[in-house]
Formats: sequence, C-alpha cells, structure tokens
Amino acid sequence: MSGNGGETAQVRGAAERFRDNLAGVFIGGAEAIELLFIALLCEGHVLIEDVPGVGKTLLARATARSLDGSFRRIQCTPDLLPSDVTGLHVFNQKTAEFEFRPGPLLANVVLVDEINRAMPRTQSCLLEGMQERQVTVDWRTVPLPRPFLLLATQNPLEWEGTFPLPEAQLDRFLLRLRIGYPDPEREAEVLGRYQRENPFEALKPVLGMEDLLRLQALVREVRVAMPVRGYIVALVQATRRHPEIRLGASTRAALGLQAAAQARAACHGRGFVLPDDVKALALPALAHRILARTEARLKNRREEDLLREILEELPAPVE
Amino acid sequence: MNRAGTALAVAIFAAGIELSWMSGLLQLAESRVGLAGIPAAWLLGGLPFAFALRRLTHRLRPRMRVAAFTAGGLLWAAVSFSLLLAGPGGASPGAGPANAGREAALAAAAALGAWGAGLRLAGLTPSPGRLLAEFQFGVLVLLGVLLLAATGTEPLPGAAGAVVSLFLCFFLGAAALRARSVGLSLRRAVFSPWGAAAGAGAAGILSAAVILAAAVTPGWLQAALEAAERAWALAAEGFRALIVWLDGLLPRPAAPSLPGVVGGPPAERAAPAVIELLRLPEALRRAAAFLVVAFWLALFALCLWRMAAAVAHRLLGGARAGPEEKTERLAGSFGEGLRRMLGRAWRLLGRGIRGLAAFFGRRLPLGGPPAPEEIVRRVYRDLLARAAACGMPREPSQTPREFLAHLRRRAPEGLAGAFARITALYEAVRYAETPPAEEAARRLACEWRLVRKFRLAAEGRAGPPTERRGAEGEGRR
Repeated sequence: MSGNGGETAQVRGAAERFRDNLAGVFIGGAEAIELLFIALLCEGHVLIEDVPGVGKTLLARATARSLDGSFRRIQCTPDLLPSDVTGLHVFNQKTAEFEFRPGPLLANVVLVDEINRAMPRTQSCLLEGMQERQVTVDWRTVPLPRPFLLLATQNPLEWEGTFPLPEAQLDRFLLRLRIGYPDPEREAEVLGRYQRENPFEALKPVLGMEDLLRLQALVREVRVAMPVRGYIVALVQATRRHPEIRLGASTRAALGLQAAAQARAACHGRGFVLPDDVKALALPALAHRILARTEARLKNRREEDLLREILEELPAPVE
Repeated sequence: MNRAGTALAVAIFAAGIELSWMSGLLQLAESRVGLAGIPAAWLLGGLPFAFALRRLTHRLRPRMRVAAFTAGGLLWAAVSFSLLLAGPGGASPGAGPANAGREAALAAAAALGAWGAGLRLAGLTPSPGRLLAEFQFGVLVLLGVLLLAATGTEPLPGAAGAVVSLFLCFFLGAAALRARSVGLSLRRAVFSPWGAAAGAGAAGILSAAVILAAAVTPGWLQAALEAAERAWALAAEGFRALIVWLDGLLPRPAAPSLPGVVGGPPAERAAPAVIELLRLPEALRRAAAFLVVAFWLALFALCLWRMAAAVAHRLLGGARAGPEEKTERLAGSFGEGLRRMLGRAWRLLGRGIRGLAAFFGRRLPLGGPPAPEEIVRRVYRDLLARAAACGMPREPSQTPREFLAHLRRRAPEGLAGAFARITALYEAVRYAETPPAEEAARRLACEWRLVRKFRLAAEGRAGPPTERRGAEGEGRR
C-alpha cells in the first residue's frame, strides 16, 4: 500500500465515520477521537488521563459503543482482585469439573475506569492481557478475543487511595490522551446538546470487528521509508541521551510510534508515513513512557516539554 | 542590531573569500610577471564604485541592471588596466627584502580571507553550483601558479608558502565547522552574529600571527613552511612532467633515417613541442605575459565586483528582511556533506563523459537522462536553496509540510499552489519511495522554472510580488 489507492480510502472512510459518530457525543475533541481511532487501528491500548469531569469515561464508552463488539467495564477499587478481572475456575457440581468463568477482561473493548485506584497486584494482572493478548488463570491460558482494546482512565490529581501505575505498565499503553477543558464555545455547545436528552443513547455502532481486523491488516502495509524509520530511531535515542531524562523511551515505544504513525498516515489517506506523522504522535506515544529527572521537575519542566525540545532540535529527514 | 550584525558578519565572510583569492593573485602577478607597482588601493576602489552603481540602478528592470553592471564592470576594468600599464611598472623580481612586509601583509590578508571562506563554506549547502561559485577563482589561481611553475626556470618565490597556507587554512576552517561535534558546539556561536564576526576576526588574527611568526623567526614554523614549499615544488615538477608526457603523445613526423649508419652517436633528442611552444620569442613572450595579466586582472575585477555586490545585497537585503531572518545553518555532518558532494561530482562526471561521447558520435552506457525522482528531488533542493537565498531558510527540524506552511506565510499568494505541488511530489518520492510518472516530473520541472523566474523577476521590486507580475514574468520568458 504505497499510494493513495482504494485501501487507504477504506481506512480514511472508516476514520471519518467513526469521527462523525463520536463528534455528536464528545464535542470539541477531534484530536482525541483521531488518536483513539489510531489506537484501534494499531490494536493498542489507550490511557486517558485528565481531571474529573472532562469526559474521559464518556469518550471510552462512546468508542466502545461505536464498535460492534463485546464491551465490558471494570470499575477499579482498592479491593478489586485479579480474579475479578481475568475470571476464575468454579467447580460445577453437575459435571464434577472445574469450569472457567471468564472475567470482564475477555471482551473486545474493555474500559478500566480509574485504573490507579486498583492495587498493584490487580494492575499487574492486566499486563499479560495487554501485551500478549491472553490471560493465565490457574493452570489454563485463555486467549483474549481479537481485536482487543483496553481503554483506561485515571485522574492525575488525586493521590490519596491511589496506586501510581508502574513504568512497565505505562509502557504497554500505546497512547496517552489528555483531553483538557473545552473552550467556551464548545462548552456552550455541550450544554445545549445535553439539555433535553443524552445523545449517547442514540449512538450506533459504525464499525464491525471483522472490518476492524481487515483495516488493521491494511494499516500494517503502510510504507515506512528508511529515512522516516531513521527519524523514529533518532527520536527515541535522543530521549535516552537527554540530560534531563532519567528513563528514555523503550524499543517497544519505537515500535508503537511506528505503528501509530502508519495508522495516522492511513487515516489521512496516505499509503506512506511522513515525518509529520511521527512528530504529531511523538507526545501521545512517548510522553508517558519517559521519566524526567528531579532537577527538571523542580524547574517545572514536564516530560512533554522535554519531548518538544527534542523535536525542535532533531533534524527532520529532508534533503 | 541582530539583523545588522548578521548581515555584517555574512558580508565579512563573503568578502573574505574574495579577498583571499585576490591577495594570492596579487602576489602571483607581482612576483612572477614583474608588475611591481600594482596600485592595490585603486583596484580596491572598485568597491564603492560598484556599490554606487547598484544603488543607482536598483529600480531598473533586471535585464537593464545586469547590462549596467556588465558595462560598468568592463569600463572599470579597462580604466584600471590602462592605468596599470601606464603606471610605474617594471621588471622587478617582486620577491625581495623590500617586499617582505608586503608579502607578510598579503599573507595575513590571505589567512583572514581563508578563514572567512572556510566559515562561509561550512554554512553552505554542499552543491556543485555553490562549490563551483566559491572555488572558481581559487582553481584558476592554482592553475596559474602551476602553469607558471611549469614554464618558468626559477623556483617559486617564498610567498608561495602563503598561498599554500591559504588553502590549508581554508580547508581547515571548513573541516572544523563541518565536523559534527565541533559544528554542533559552534552552531550557536556562528548564529550569534557578533560572536561569528569576533570568531572570524580572532581566527584571522591568529592565522596571520602564525604566518608572520613563521616568516620572521626560524624554528619549527619556518620548517613547516619550507616543507609546504617543497610539496609545492613537487607538485609543480609533477605538472611539468605531465606536460612532457602529454607532449610525447603528440604525433610528430618521423626523422629521416640515414642508410648505412649503424651504431653511430645518437642524435640529440628534439625538444618537446609543447616546451618549444613555451619558449617564445621575447616579443611574443611579453604579449603572452600581457594577456595573462589581462586575464588575471579581469578576474580580479570580477572578484571585486562580486564582493561589492555581496556586501550591498547583504546589507540592503538584511535591512529589509523580516525579524525571522537567520543565517544559513550547518546542515548535517561533514561526512554527510562530503558524501553528497562526491555523489554529485560522480554524476556530473558521468554526464560530462556522456556529453563527450555524444559529441564524438558514440554513446556510452552510462545511464540516460535524470530519473524522474532525481528531477523532483533536484527541484525541491532548488526550492530550498532559493528560499534560503530569499531569507526563508528551512530549519533543520522542519518537515517539508511545516516548511511549506512557513513558505506560505511569507511567499506571494500566487506561488502557494506551485510550492504545494512540489512538496507533495517530493514527499511521494522521498517517503513513499515511489518513482513519479515521468510526465509529472517534467511538468513539475517546467513549473519550477516558471516559478523561479517569476521570483527572480519579482526580487528587488518594492512590495510583495503579485499574480500580475507573475504573468508578466511568464510573458517575458
């Protein structure tokens, strides 16, 4: 898939349908919607992080409803157990056998709400599912349904009663979204739209699971030229060399960034990745995977600021 | 202050390279041809003359301006030349104790110019055209020195060491700034205009001091210069041997053989024809010297002209440019630049050989016309170079689309479509690695020629160029 042929047109059409569907419910978040669709195309997981009340859970639920697949929701609390997530074996007295009763993780779209309220052992039980698309319960390994997308939300402001996600888990999220407050016009539009009825109820699925799998296969064929690949590598390497970064981006991060760039190119109707795709996705794909040093934090320089600085310094692969 | 400082620093660099060739040329002419009384002050007086001419003609149409510049340059060169011939000339050897101070001053000027040239070369995008523009005079000076060394009987004067030092400093300066680590650390200094001017000045003074020290004190510096002299003499001897070898390849009539004479003393070998040609009668020799000096002086005049134009352009252009104007940045490492340069030189060589083959009626399998993707990349490189020359250089971190947006903000509206088409095709070539259709590439090249001419025609006029002017430019073409 190297040109603007029918394949990219299919992806672009699906992206537009998805965006139009969600735009009626989630107002003013075109960028977040696009990033979510990119994650869908890469079969990557998304961490939605923002203050309460900006629509994190609504966005995740609307995404799930726009897909014609199974959807489960896990509301994380400190007493949530791993078996509550993955499922467990129960003894069937009729058959005198242990039967596997699947947990909510075994669905196409899983919303893990307020993930940082779960205890570390419960958070860790998500690792296998997120990376290997399977869960191991007792002696049995159960594959997760495909496609599998995990949407997690967390509130970065609350510290009491929360357990910060470990780096290993953060690294398994393809993208981290920050929604932010809408501007006054958008906020007024939200009030008007939600005054009489909840538009969420009218939301219809626009993308089947089979279609999504086919689109995912198409996206993997999007061409990544050597200069662009080199640009991704240089970007990741730069995060490891930066004096104010304690933990640079991993190879998994580079893979994720490349896959996301492929998906973005396809969403824009292109059969090849541009450096612009990489730049546009660098912050959502890398910012949550790197750790700034304490000196940088004291200077109020966040990971996003450091990444922006790297992007401004890194030469683009042009003549 | 920053803009003026930038313009001044760039003007210093631009002047430096011209000055370096000129000083070497003066030295050569003085020491080898015998013109002891070259009035350097008069020759340098061409600068204000050119400056005034440019100011007076800047409202004329481009063609008229070019004609005025050409006529003015020729007139000035002719007047200089006649004054030179009528002035206190003589057959002084040029290299002597009385001229030691002058040689030192010339050497210092050459070193200063060489450093400026090195800095300037380091900031340029390596392309054959730019390099040829920088080297055009230097190569001629080198060839002239070699030719005189091959034809003359006396060794080269001691000032040749300065010429060697000039080239050495030139390449050292270029290499130092092109090297990735040093270049990166110097990048900020070079972008700071006053820092750049101070750096260039300090480097020049240091080089001059080194050469002066080598000239007046014995020691290892003197030995180094002598080694350079020996290398120079070796090169000259090699050139002489090359001439003799070439002469041996020329067909010449066979000598009549004397029947019956066997084992007699060998006949004296005839002198090579080329060497014979060089041993001209005195009148012809003087005429040849006159022509050589005329040629050098014409080049000298051209150098001064370029210097004046560069200074005027930088100062005037710098004053008009917007606040975003920056100097050219160092693009890539020295190795990368060298690789590109060699690649282009190789392609140029292939093209030259193919042209020669076509000229002689043969066709060599060295590849056909440039591939469509090469055409597109070349057009995009031209676009970048043109934009940089117009004060819109691409930042190293800018992608083609970001640069396009940057161009659209500052370029005339009529050109936005053409820039977008060039960028789109370049993206397809570079990032999709898909060769474009040949027809599309040719169309793009034609469009670029129109756009480029339009921009050139619009330059120097008051106010931003409009579509109407574009149509005019197209019509004129």
